[in-house]
Amino acid sequence: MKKTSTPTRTEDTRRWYEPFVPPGMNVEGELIFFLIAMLAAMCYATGFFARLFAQMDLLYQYSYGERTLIPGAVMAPFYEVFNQAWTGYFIVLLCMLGWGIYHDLYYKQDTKSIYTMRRLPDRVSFLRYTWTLTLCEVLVCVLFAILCLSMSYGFYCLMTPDGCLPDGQWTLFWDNLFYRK
Amino acid sequence: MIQFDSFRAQNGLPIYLQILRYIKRGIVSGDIADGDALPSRRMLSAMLGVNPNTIQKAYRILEEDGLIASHAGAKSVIVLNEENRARVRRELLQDDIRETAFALRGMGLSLQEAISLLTQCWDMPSLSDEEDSE
Amino acid sequence: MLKLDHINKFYGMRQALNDVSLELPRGEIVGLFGENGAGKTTLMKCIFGFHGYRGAITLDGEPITTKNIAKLSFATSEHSFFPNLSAAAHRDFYANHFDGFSDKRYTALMDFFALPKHKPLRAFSTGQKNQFEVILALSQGADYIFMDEPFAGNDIFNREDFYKVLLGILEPHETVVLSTHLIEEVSDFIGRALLLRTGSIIGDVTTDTLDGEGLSLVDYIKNTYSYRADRVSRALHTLTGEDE
Repeated sequence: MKKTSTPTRTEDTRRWYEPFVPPGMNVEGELIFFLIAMLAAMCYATGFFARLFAQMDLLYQYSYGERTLIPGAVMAPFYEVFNQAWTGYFIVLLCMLGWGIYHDLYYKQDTKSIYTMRRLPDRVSFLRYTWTLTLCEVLVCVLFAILCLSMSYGFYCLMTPDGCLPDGQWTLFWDNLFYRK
Repeated sequence: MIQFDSFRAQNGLPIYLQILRYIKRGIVSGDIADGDALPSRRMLSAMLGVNPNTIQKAYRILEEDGLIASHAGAKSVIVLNEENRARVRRELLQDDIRETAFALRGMGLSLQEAISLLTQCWDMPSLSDEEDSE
Repeated sequence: MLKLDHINKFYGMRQALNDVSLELPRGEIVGLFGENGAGKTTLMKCIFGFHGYRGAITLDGEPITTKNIAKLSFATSEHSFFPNLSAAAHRDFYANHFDGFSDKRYTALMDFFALPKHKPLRAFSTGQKNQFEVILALSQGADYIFMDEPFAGNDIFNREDFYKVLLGILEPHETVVLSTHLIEEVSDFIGRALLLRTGSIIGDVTTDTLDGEGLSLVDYIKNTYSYRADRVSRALHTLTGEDE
């Protein structure tokens, strides 16, 4: 790709991320949006804990300041406690796909740099410049969503008192993913 | 090297003919001497803003006329001797007179009228000189 | 050899290119003429594959793909550079992507036109933008350089300088296809003229042939388009009611 005789760098500052974003695009705005959106999604996800403690509290009875476990009490199903706490991450994912489309439109505003991009001799470059950042953002969303689910399930299992944990919660969660049975 | 600074492209005549005429006039006036080098085709093409094929055509005609000698790798050089210098002078004169004759015929003059007009004007100064002195 | 075989292009019902067939060998300077909407830009865009079309376009026998597209370069009045990048950044971009990029030619042209190297392109004047667009197309290392009305907004001195520099630097294997309205100005510069009208090629002639027939380029074009020289005087007659 590079000619050995021609120096490929004339500017002092050449940022490491440049091959992965549309040439000349300032992605600061996008990254700040992503950060704030992820924080918002994380805040929303922590609602799980509020629900978890609330449901755990229902397993107990209180008399004269003392807490005892209600005999035969069963913890609420995981899918109810979780209540799709991970939704925020999927919304962010869709937003970042929208930003990805904006990357594509970037080549058609002001000048028609799309003509240059579509003339590049290596097939991969156009995709690399346009979609790498978006792909990374989408992967981060998916990763956080997975972590959210697994950590929530872990907390659900560990923190529910022994004997109160109903069976088959993992399968039940997936069965109830899109609608309540 | 032969200068083309005073060359002005005009409408009407194909540019390669204008270049030929420029060289011939230079030969007749003495500005262009035997052994003078012509700019390379590419250089002249860039100087005048003229397609290299056109320059090539002009140079080829000069070569066919025996006015230049081209050697591979070196600039083309004017070749003048008594014979071709006289021939060029004759050709230029003939071209100029032909144009004048054509114009006069177009105005309805007969040959006799043209000759008498020429005789009348033979000793007169040029129009531009006349204007200067007024 | 760049060959176009029976190219047809429709935008919905409207036919933009009508059975266009052409052969463009290397080493020519070709002027592409035609009224607005004649299909000049569409033709160039089809060659690069920006549009779909019917027919075949081949370069040295091969279809135009990423394997050979580096042999074609494009300068357009719409500008195809990145407005936020500097000239130097563009140079790096081109050097990285195009094996044949000529640093020598790029530097020489940048110096000749005295263009700033580290200012973002959006801060250039229109004339400078045009110049830079063409510099990139010339430095890419292409064999076929397509220019779509590249001088919109440049003054005449600028343009004449450019024709001269172009003639000085072009190699014998390079072909320039220049689409322009400035017929008189380019009539000495080009070696071949292509005339388009409503998507069809109505004229294809070398300046050599025109010389032989004693026809100027302007006259040839007017004749081919059946331009009516009395058009203006007739219109005035109607408009003003004046007798000639």
